Amino acid sequence: MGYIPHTEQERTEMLAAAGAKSLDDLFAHLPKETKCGPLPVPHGLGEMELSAEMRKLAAKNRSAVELACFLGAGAYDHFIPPVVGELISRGELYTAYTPYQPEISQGVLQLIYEYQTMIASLAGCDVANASLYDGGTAMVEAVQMAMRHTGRMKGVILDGALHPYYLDTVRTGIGALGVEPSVVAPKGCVSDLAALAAKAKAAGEELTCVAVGYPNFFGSIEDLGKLAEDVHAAGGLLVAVGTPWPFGLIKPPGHMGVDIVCGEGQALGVPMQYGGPYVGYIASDKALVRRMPGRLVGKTVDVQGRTCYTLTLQAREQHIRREKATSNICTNTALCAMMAHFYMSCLGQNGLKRAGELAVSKADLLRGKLKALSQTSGSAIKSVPEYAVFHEFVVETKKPAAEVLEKLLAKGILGGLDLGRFDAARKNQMLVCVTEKRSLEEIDAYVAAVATA
Amino acid sequence: MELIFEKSRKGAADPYFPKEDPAGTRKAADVLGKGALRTEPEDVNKRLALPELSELEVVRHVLGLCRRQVGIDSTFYPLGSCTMKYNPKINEAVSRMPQFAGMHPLQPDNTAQGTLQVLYELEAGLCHVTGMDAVTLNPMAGAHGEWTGILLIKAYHDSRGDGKRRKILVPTAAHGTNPASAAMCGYEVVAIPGTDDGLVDLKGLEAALGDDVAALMLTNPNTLGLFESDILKIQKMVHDAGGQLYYDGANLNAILGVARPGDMGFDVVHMNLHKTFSTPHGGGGPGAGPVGVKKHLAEFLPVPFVKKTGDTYAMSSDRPKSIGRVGAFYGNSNVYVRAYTYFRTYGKEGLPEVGKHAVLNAAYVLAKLQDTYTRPLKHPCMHEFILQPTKEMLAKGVRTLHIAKRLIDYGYHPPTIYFPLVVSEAMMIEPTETESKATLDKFVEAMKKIAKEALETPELVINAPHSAPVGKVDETKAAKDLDLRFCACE
Repeated sequence: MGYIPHTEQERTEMLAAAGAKSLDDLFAHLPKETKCGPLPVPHGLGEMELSAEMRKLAAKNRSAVELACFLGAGAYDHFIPPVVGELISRGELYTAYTPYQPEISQGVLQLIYEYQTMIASLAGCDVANASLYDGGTAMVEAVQMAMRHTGRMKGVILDGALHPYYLDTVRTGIGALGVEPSVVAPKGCVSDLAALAAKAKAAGEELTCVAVGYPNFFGSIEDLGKLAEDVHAAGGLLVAVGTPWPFGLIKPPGHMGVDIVCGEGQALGVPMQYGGPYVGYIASDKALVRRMPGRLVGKTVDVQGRTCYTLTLQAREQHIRREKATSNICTNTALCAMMAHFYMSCLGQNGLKRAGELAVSKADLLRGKLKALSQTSGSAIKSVPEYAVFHEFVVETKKPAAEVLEKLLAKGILGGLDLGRFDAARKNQMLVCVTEKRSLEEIDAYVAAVATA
Repeated sequence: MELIFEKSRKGAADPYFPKEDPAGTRKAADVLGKGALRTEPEDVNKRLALPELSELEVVRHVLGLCRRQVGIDSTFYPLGSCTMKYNPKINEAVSRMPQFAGMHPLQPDNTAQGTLQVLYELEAGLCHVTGMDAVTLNPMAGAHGEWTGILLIKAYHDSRGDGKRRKILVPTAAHGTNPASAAMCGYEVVAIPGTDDGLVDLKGLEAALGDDVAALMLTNPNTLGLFESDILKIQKMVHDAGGQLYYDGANLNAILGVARPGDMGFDVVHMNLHKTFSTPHGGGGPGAGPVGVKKHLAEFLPVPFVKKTGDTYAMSSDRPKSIGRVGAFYGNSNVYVRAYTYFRTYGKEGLPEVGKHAVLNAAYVLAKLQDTYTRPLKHPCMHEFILQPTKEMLAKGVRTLHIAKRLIDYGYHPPTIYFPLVVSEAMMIEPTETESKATLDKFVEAMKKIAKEALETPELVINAPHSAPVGKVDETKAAKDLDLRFCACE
């Protein structure tokens, strides 16, 4: 049955050794009211039938492999070299538990140490942790890290141009502690840095942190240097939230005085897989490291003085500190962090930068073509708002964006995100992303599909 | 082993992207403007530090590290309370199908019917397995599930205007995540003592219960591997006091298909699908921690959720009293694809066999070892059990840590040690149902040899491991001289 290896004879011998007459006998001490009969679930399947069944279900999906994906908004369709999937299929890595036994876990430990180095350097920071669940929860952890550092609970100020789902996740996360964040509306698609700074100043003694998107939800990238100065002057920490993928090419938050950088690392070699598993990242200045949540891998030596790696600062964690722990988290997403490692290692500094350049150039190309279309009568495009972006931007449509996107889908194109989903006032706007993976043919097909209303 | 950065060769080429800009495009630097571009600062630690290597060099680096790492695929892994069962390869193959792996989380529902159906049917299946009325797949790990579950309980009490319940009761033997999760929801944590037999002390529980208690968090079988046979009394006591009963599903594998938390009177359940449903632990995650609830809590479940209308599935956030969103998208969807594949493998007839064989394997190994080591608890074991070194071993200076490390020399991953904290020198052994009698017999033999060594050549055990890639690790130095990253200045 399935992957239970016992033969009838072995079962009999084992039961005898355990002093039981039958398998049911092993449960004789359970109250009968707690026991269940056969469950109303489907019969089990052998692998042959199961494969066919799962293929049937898979065929009901139309994935980004079949469709040209111009949809981003927190999950990105990048080219992932096949080597990433090959390496992560190693049983030593994906069937291992958390590396609590360093003697036989040097593989995962060293890979995570290397991942910490890569992700910290990408964010332009001193240190990073071994990863968190996802971008939304990483942001919750970043805000709580700022609370621990400042010893304050209130005064959490959030950029309204953060991913709406991240904002919701933070509302739930810190709402559990009775804290309500204040949210500063963006100016169009651009984070309102001046208003964020003013709000930080007004919070006075209560200020904990300001969290700003970079790139923000609408793809906007603005220099954060001045905001960092203002927030520091007001006595708080600045948190930047965003995908780290562009940081091989553009100025990373850590170079602009940002204290904590966090977000979703999926773009670094992890498939989109309908939202998870992903890899939340968090990086910071080394002065904050003891406030950092989650697992950390550190370098040390063994009894013979040989360099090796181990989980460290575990005294902050729940299995030691229980209710006084820095966080209840006892898992990272090591598997996805290792994928990010393989991706960054294979691409290297030059590859990541080059991919970034291609994405920027191609996004600019589509953005330009859509802008040109907006000047012609009869197209579906009303205008293309001007602001600095990396590979994602907002387009205003003449009809509701949902209708335009449906038309694109009919042509095999996932055209972007209907912003009306989050804000009724934006129902004629869509968020469009162009990664390095999109071909010129796909870009042309996109333009052709929206050339007529 | 050398770090990947130390192998880096500046300027090594990669084969991935065209060097020429696509026709008709502007240069990225011109688009972005010079001020937006990354430049490397003085501070070496803040410079970009990605290695430059050929793909082959990266592959060899990783495979070199694989030789310094064990997983379930390499060796028996009797890690108590972690349920290290075999991760069937078909689960991986299905999850890597482009039609699942290539799905964007914000795609229109009509392009995601396959995934949505998988999620919907898995929710239904988990309801049956746990005896609960509704399940959310949002939480991304066990601790995340606990935290979500406690928030649901809070929302329930708040909705009844019952705001004075500020305490959560947790047995002293509970997983550390229980008190940590309760604290993250703003609750005061009160420890409930256990009896000498390793069960909840009903008198202690009675004394702690009152109109200020929001819930009792319990694992059953508990963290000592014992079934709380007074569970029906416990549930009545908690409910009579107006509290809710929370089930930590860490040990669900023991009763899979045989008994259900819902029938024991639990109101909230979290499951660890990376344990019970065979999804890989991944070297420390991702997990998946779905939460099941009874009817009275269903309206508070997080958003989003999958809704079925006729034969069509849709992602919905229409749940006005919801506690909100607990993560960016819908949990670890592709872990659920694996869990669903596993669920369909076993089905109606197979699921009870999982629980039964998990208990059989534990009971068998316990029977074989209980005369060689000290068995502190006499209650029948479930899927895992605790042993201690004997007095004679301890007199020779051989402790649990040493025995665990000596097992590495015999080719095994050690059991969980020094947990639960309430039993001194605990070794928590959980074989799982996927191990054969032959494997278990060899493990028993190794444990007996170590017991003999502990008395005859204790130094051999105390100084173990002798054959691992590295010896005992200096953890104090790791915490004191904190070094969390490679620095090019080294």
